[in-house]
Amino acid sequence: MTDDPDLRSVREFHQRRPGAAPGALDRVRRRVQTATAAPHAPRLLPRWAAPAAAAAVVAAVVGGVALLGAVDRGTPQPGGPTGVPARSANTAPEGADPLWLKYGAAVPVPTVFAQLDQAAAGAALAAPRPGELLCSHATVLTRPGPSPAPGSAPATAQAQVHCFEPEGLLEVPAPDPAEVKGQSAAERLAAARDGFAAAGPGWGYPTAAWLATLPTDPDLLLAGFRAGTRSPAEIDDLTRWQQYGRFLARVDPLLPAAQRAAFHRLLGRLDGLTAAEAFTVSGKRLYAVRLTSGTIADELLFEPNTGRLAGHVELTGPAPVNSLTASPGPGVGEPVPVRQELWKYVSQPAATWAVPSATARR
Amino acid sequence: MSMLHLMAEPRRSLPDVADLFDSHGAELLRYCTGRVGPTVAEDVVADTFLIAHQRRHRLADGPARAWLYGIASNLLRRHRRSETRALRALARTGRDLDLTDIADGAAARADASALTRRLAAVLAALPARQRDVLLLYAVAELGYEEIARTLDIPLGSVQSALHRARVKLRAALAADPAAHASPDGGSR
Repeated sequence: MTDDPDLRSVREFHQRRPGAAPGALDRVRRRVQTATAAPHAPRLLPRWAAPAAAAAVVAAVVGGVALLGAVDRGTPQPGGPTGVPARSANTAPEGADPLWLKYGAAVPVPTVFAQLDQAAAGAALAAPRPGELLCSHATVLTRPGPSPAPGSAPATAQAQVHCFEPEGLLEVPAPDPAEVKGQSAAERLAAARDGFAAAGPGWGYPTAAWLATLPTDPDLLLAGFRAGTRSPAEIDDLTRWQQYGRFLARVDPLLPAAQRAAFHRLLGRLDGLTAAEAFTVSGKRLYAVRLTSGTIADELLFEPNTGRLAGHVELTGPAPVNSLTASPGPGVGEPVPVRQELWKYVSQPAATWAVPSATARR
Repeated sequence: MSMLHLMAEPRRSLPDVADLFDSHGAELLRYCTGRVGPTVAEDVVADTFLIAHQRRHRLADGPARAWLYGIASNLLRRHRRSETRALRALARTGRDLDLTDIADGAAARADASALTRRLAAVLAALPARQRDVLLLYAVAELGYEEIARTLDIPLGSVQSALHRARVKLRAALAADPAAHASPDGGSR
């Protein structure tokens, strides 16, 4: 390989960048081994509620509690006594970050989806007005590894804001005065608009009108979903679950109740589902529907009052788990959440996307 | 390729990925960390090996190392903006940006040398393909053909992109003659 000065400079520049975190290689190895040891297909770690194009961290916060408080305005208190086994609280050790969800009573999955359908049918979608963007405000909590222990690296909280044009759900890049040659925010958006104009509404560029035309029959919806996402007919349930969740997270603010219910039917067909109440740090009550596959568990969080998707949790665990029936003691046989996202979509005038306070909530 | 399409790969019966990881994991982690920071790099490398495990039947098409860099390069594209932002910040302030590291969020980082800042500015300004090609060539030390296969672009495009990137790079270095005399660019 050539050792010209310019290439050597790049190589040395790269070597001087921040190095891997302590123990990073072992953490990654463990994650890969855990995932590939699952009885189903290896999973691809998802990045929820972020566009496929590019996910940008708009602001990072140390005090994630503040944003959680802004996102969650519920008041119920967690963990009321019930007659059914409760999913044990997340298994973070004593002293771990309190931002992780607390789990409450188990709820039958069909009951959850029925309640969500009912709630969605009674809740009108607040369509953005002309000139408004759809903005997702997310709080993301991550843990560096599946086996937290006292003294281990702390969980990391981030606030992320992404704004989208409602038509085609095109991400509007955060304003950045320091343009890169040929890659300004405006030009990136223009390129996305060109792509939308060329392809039209569809699975890649959903619009409210197009979503309203989706079949409400689950079988027809599944056929369309497979075709639209080029997904093979035979696919393991965990992957299918992730596909549905990813799509729902993207289109949630625009999805009509009937089509939402059809997706719930598809979700409900998958094996390995359990459901429970879950409570945010501010006490807001959610439904956590979990699909467990081997040592991997993946949760979607729903708002009981609106039927809408409210977040996502990735968990990994030491052993196959069915906490809702086995009711293990806290920390025994339970998967540990390694990534938790809570999000909320709001409509906001496009002009405010350029205002720093709208992009950096600290 | 959309995330949905990535998720659509059919399941196959596959051998263990541990050998691949042992051979290339550390190197890939270093490469990705240098590009997108330690936190995101862990995700990218984990995803890289999971995808590799899922698609291992394609390994016969070429050497594993270049193939893994190809998967990682595709995944790194999702973080293009944050990578560029960090490079710009380094160029502007002389400090590496790691927004996600709360534990060390307040920790001061040593100022970068003028050369480092200039290189950061050049890399930030490079179009995505040129940056990929340059880093795969200079840092990962892949050959032209390997890069072409890795990025799924014609060989001529690799040569063209690398040439253009190096012209900009040399121009930046020429503005700092000391860089040639002392390629390490000084201490951070």
